[in-house]
Amino acid sequence: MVQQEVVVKNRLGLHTRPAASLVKLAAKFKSEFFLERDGYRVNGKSIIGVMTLAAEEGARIVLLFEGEDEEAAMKAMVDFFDRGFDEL
Amino acid sequence: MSSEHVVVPDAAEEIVLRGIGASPGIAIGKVLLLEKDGIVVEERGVDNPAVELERLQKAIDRSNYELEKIYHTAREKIGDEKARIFEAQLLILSDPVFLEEVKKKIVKSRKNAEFVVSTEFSKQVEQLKRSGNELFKQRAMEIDDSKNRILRNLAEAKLKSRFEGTPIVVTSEFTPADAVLLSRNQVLGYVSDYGGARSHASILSRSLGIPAVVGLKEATKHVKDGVDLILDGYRGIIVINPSEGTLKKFRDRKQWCEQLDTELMTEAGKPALTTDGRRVSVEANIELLEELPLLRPHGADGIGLFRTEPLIIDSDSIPDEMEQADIFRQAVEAVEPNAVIFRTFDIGGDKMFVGNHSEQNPFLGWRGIRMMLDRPDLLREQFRAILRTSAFGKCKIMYPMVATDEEVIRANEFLEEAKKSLDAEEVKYDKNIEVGVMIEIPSAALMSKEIARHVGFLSIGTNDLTQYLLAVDRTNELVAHMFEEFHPAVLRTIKFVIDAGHDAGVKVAMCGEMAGNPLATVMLLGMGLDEFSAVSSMLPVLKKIIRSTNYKSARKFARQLLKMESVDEIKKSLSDYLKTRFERIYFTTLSEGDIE
Repeated sequence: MVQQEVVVKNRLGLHTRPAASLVKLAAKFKSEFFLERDGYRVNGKSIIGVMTLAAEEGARIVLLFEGEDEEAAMKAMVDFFDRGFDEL
Repeated sequence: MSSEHVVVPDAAEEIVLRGIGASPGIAIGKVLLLEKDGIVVEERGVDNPAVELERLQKAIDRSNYELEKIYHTAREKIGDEKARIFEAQLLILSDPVFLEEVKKKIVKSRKNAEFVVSTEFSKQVEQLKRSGNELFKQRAMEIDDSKNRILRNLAEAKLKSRFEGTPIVVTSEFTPADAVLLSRNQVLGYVSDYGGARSHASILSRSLGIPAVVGLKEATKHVKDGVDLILDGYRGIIVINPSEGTLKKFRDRKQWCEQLDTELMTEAGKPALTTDGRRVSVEANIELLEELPLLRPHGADGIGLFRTEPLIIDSDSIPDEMEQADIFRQAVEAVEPNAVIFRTFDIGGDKMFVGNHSEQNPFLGWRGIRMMLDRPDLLREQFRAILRTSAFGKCKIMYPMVATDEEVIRANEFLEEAKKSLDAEEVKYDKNIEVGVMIEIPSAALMSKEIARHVGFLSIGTNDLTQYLLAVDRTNELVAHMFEEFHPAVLRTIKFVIDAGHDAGVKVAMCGEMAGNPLATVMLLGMGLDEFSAVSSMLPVLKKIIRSTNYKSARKFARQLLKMESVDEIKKSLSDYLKTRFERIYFTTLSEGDIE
């Protein structure tokens, strides 16, 4: 299992549109993927789950991956957060 | 058998319910009840979970099909951008992880699909509601809507989207989806348990010219399909099972109101000129672009308040400079050659979109210009959008929630920066664009002369000014009755601001609720107010009053009112004045509370 902490960078946070893109990106990988914020953990392949994180700008989130392509999945996801979900 | 248990369906009791008049007009017709959250979910053990799984899948497929159709209609009716609100619901309905979880729970708990769907969705809704961020709370409504849709399809109940005749539709709360679906039918009026005058559905009904009363709390409990109902959108009341006498009264009232409306609308294009030649400006407050087509027919002399924060709420994002400029341009084109006053984002208070924090005292907290000065990135972008728009028509800029002149100076500096950046890019704009300030905080009211030195106009916001002057939070039921915009302290403050503005050589406007209240029109005119800005449906009424009034006598009347020391005395004088001189306006447009 691998994990890394990331910060939400776009000003509206992880709202509906980025949540949808994030779930689509996660679906490309076989690994299980979870997001954790202040002890609340959601499945990263569920749009409803990701939305309930209510992660606003500046929120710190731990990404956790488990599976054969976990390294690649983490790299892609961290990059997506760093790009501010392409909303910067 | 005792007679009190005999139910006589034909002689059902007349019930009067009071709510909020969301769209003016009177409708008399039969009820069509649109049930939504009325689905009672039972907890039931099941022997064969496979049957439940199959039912659930069918309900989900059916829900998807319905939503696809709504999405399609919405794109035709309100455009791609706004139709996106339905995309989120489509995504929710196709969340494989979540739905798999629901199915597993059905198998494991051996409970009926309704119960598990309801419990699991509600957990997510609660989780979202706990977040302090307004945008995320909005998403909770979408998840809730998806839940209700699946539940209804589990009950194999059809969505009532097409129906015979022309009913008055009654429901718990209108969603944008309802508004889209119902717009394909002939509807006499809308009635709902929840919602306010500024909700989406209310604004939509105003622009469609359909009378509506919202916020009735339990209208759905008292009606059934086919029941007779009277809806009075002026006074915000409904009458269920009206007696013959009541029906006659309202038929007469309807005729009388419609006649007055027609007369007022015919004259709406004439200038707001008093009988002795004082010209004032009567402008519109705008919330949504759907309202723009109403402006010219209602005789608006421009837009006195264009609220920009609904752009954020509607699109689930902060529109960038070019998106804002596109929207602003539509407003400018709708009123040219008149001006549009764009108020910079008034967020914060109870509407938090930036960041995720809650405040003990939001109305005394980080809101309006305070927040924007802390987020110059947003302010600069908005300034640039307004400046770009000014190349196509007359624009003005207004700052909300100003407490001191330093805030105005700082905001003006950001505006200068924005101008310079556009100069560098050789973008055209109106170099003399006028800037104004909303006067809604007591400190700003007292310092309005000093503040006026830095701007071209002042605009009084009566709702917040009243709240801060009287220290009454209107949303707090325990003290709401103390909220009184006709309090002598409020009136004297308004007069002080108008005089201070005039001393400094600037015009003074009002864009709060009082500006649209016919009771106050003559008084405000007499105090010397230069510009009235109100919901467009009220503009013909204001113009009629102004055009029939002598400015000199209005001044005298205002002087008398300003000497009065009690609310009752002030309100009685205003009420008597309107009743004697404008009897029909008095009985048509005033809410019952004002009349009593």
